[in-house]
Amino acid sequence: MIVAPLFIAWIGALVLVFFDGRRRSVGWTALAVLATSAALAVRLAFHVAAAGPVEMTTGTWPVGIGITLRADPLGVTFAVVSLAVLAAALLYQIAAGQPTRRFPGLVLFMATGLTGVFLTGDTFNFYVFFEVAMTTAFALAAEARERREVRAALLFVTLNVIGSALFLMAVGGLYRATGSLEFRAVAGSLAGVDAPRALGIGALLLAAFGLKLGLFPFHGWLPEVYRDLRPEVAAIFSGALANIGSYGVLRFGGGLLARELDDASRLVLALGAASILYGSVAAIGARSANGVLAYSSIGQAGYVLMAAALSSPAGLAAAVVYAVVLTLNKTLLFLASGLRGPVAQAAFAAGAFSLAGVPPFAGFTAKIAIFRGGIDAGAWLPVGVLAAGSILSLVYMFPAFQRTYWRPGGPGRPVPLPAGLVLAGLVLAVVACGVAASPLLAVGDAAAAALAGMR
Amino acid sequence: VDALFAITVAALVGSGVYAALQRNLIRVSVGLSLLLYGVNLFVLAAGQSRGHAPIRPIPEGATASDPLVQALVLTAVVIGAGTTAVLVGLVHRVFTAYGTLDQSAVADPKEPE
Repeated sequence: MIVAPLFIAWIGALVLVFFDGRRRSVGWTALAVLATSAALAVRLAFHVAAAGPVEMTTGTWPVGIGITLRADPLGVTFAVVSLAVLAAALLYQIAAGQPTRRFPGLVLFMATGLTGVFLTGDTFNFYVFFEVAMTTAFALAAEARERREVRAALLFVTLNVIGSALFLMAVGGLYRATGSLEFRAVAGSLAGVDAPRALGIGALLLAAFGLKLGLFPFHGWLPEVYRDLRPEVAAIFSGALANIGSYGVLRFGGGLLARELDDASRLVLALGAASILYGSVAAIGARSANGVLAYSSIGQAGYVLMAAALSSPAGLAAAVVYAVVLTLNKTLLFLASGLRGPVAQAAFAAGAFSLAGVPPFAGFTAKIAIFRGGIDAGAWLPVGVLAAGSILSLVYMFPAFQRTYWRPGGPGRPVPLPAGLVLAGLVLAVVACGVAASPLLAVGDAAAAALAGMR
Repeated sequence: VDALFAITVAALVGSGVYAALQRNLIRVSVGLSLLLYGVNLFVLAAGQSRGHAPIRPIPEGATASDPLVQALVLTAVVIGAGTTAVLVGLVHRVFTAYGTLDQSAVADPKEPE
């Protein structure tokens, strides 16, 4: 059951990558495969919610020898959200994007890698799926038409190779320190590891995931890459791939190395605050809508990190909620920024308000969750930074909207119907999470409880 | 032996990072693969035991090397080779787009409106 979403996407990818993705039929087939995979992931999520985590060991080996796959509320949440984002980006590309040869197959490889990352229970297996997703991302970025895309791809690949190397080092360090690769065995043995060693591994992990997420001071690659890539690829990178960063911070920081995160919480909070302030201020100075969105991603990543660093159950739950909402916002905004006309305009406005945390959009729910976490923990300084960041996001999103849509004679590309449906669906999701917040908050609480259960 | 491993890993990673900071993209690619090899060696050194090759029969009373890290590094080498291939392909793409392998010629900080 746990393998099904992964396996279907993988088989689909292996077959479809050999077909010309510029043909409509290949795109629709890929979408059907992805939808099946997403439906199976949703079924798994409901099963996990009702009956608790699902676990299996590959190859019928005894536990501790075979590779463990494990679906808990945190993992399935990220898997479902990421698959939904990939499906939205694929449908958008079929309807309105630049058709390229390998895009449908690569999206399915990305689905395989991401689902694997979120459903594994083993640090090295995490690395392998992480690399499947990253290599796919390299290939997606390299399918460039324009020169600036080629340059963005080069920047993305070189810096992210270093990030992967850092993560592999951390896996080696964890194995040396604990003698295990399985998440819960590692978490159990870490209690006996001396603090400097564990903190060193934690620092490697923070750097690796900070690089994926684009946190200050690991953000160097992000602005130009998000700005210069095609909208559908930017949406996949910021909406689906960046989830590896949030998930990694939560799984390793909030779960395995919770004690170390707590010890270093001031430093991590300061990094998060620096991300928020830097990203927000730089976004004000950016000129194009995509530039604004790129810098704002740095700031938004800071919220997730700060919420996780509160190291309280409410903080972790808020980080999960924020990561999910952030994914929806960013996908919506990047996809809308590639189109013109009233539909795109309305969708972009909804995304912008959600990003700033205005009710009744999803961003409001996420911000309230973070404020609640911060006030419960009595952390007033972080709450102040979060409030300042929210005001700044309103300041930079409005000019971005103006410059994109109020300029006469802009590149007018009408919204094709399927792309309009994608945008409408995303807006609906953003509004639904804002109006009826309790299911989302319950998901956050369940995920935080799953993390607490790892220790 | 640990010190020897540490020095070798440091030399590989250090020269890898140095080469990755060069302007020529071929040097950057070589630097990044050196970095990956250094990390692979690091993982290999992270084994829980060291001794005979972990192949039966192991002599009575002798310790075998930890086979797990060897399996991990085998996987990591394959992944690294794939990554390097993609990187070199991209460098070729840069060459066809810009006609040069000099990073500073590729840099173009202008932001489109």
